[in-house]
Amino acid sequence: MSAKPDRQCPETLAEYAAGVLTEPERTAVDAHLSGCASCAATLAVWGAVAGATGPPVDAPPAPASVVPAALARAALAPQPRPVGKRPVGFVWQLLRVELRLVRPSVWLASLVVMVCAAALALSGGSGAGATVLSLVAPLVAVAGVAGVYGPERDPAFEALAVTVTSPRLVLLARVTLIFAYDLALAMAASAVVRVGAPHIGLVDLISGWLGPMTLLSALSLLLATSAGLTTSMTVAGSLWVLRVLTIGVPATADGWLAATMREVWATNLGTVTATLVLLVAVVVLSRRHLRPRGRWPRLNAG
Amino acid sequence: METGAEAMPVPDRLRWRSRGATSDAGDRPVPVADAVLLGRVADGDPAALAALYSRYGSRLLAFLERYAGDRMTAEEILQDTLLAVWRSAHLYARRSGVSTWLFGVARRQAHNRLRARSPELLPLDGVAAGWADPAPGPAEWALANLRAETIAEAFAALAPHHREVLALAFAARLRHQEIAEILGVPVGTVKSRLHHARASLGRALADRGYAEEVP
Repeated sequence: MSAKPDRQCPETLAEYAAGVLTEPERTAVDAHLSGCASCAATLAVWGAVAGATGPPVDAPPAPASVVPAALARAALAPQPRPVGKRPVGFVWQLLRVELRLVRPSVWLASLVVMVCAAALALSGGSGAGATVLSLVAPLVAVAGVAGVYGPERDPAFEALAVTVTSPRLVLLARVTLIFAYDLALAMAASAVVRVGAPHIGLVDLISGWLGPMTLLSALSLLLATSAGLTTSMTVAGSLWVLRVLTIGVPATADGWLAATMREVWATNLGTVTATLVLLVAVVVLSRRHLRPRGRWPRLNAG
Repeated sequence: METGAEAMPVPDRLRWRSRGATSDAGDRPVPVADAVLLGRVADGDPAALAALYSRYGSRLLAFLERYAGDRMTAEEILQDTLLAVWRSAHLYARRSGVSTWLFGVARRQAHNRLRARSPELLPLDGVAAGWADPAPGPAEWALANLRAETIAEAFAALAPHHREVLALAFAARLRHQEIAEILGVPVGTVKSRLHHARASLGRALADRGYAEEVP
């Protein structure tokens, strides 16, 4: 006999076997089945499938046990706020929270180093103030910014890695805090030096450190988030030693390297542009790199 | 794909009735009250959630138990489902029936929980598997004479989308039109997926040594 059904055969045999047809539909199929052996055989197959995959016999748990359990879970695990809709004042809130998460030693160390620098600048001869500040202020900011985020330094790193707020946003919030703090410190130190040595212009003082500070911070931030804190500090430190040497060692002051260093570590359009480029790179690359490395198994690897 | 439906047209009389029965839901007395209940759930009424569970719990659990393969996982997913319903009842837009919506939620929860267990197999309705013959093949005739336990064993080893469609059709006992809405596919695809699932079941059983001559 042919396995192909003829054109009048109903296609509701599976639903018939499942027992979900309406009464008139059932009657129509029944009428057809009495005269069609092919459909009767097909129905027998569907019937066997229905018998094996039908509703299990155990009764479902009583509502009195299931529903309260689900509601308890709802109460215990509040629904995460949708990331797309942030409340007004979110940025302010984030900054305040992150303020508490930055280690106190970061604030203190920056302050101590800057006070020492200001003291050194004041005690030195004329012209020493600008040089000292231009050498110290960038280094203070770099140390703070590079170590502000990452598994090495952050006691809350594991918790932050699973929060709704993206790691990038946390990173930017912290860098903003640290950098603003160091900026304020350097400004205050400049003001103090200016008072102690009135012959130096305040603009000259500030432009001596502002450009190098932003550029070196941006570079070390990029390296810290992509290659790790050690690499970042090594590279930033080396560059800075190079600069210190070309200023401090008279024999090198006229070489091409010294000229380059003066050009690079200055406050001008070039350094501002370079800083912006580096910051964009930080934001773009942080999508890939701001993940915990090596410590935890990847959840999606299995 | 609609080839299954084209190859085996239903008499117009039948087609009309089956369509009418599912779209105006005149044969089911509860839809209006269901939507009202869901509205109360959205307003935070636990009693409404319990009432919805009383109505659909056993069918949801039947689907989940067949789909997930064991009772304990199914009950966990059922609880996930209730939690999701409690939280997202306000998102119900009356574009589908409450029952369809509930099964859609349950299905998503099942996917979430089962995804970790096995890699996702995408259904290839009629793409790689070819046309689904509505009439059983040689291997499938054997099904009719096998014990339910034997078939159930082979069923548990089927691809997820085959277990899913069979569980929706026979464990949850949903109309094909409803299954189509839940899965977001045309009703013809539901029918052909069912045929493929049945064929896979037949092949699995033949591989296990259960076969029978073509009658």
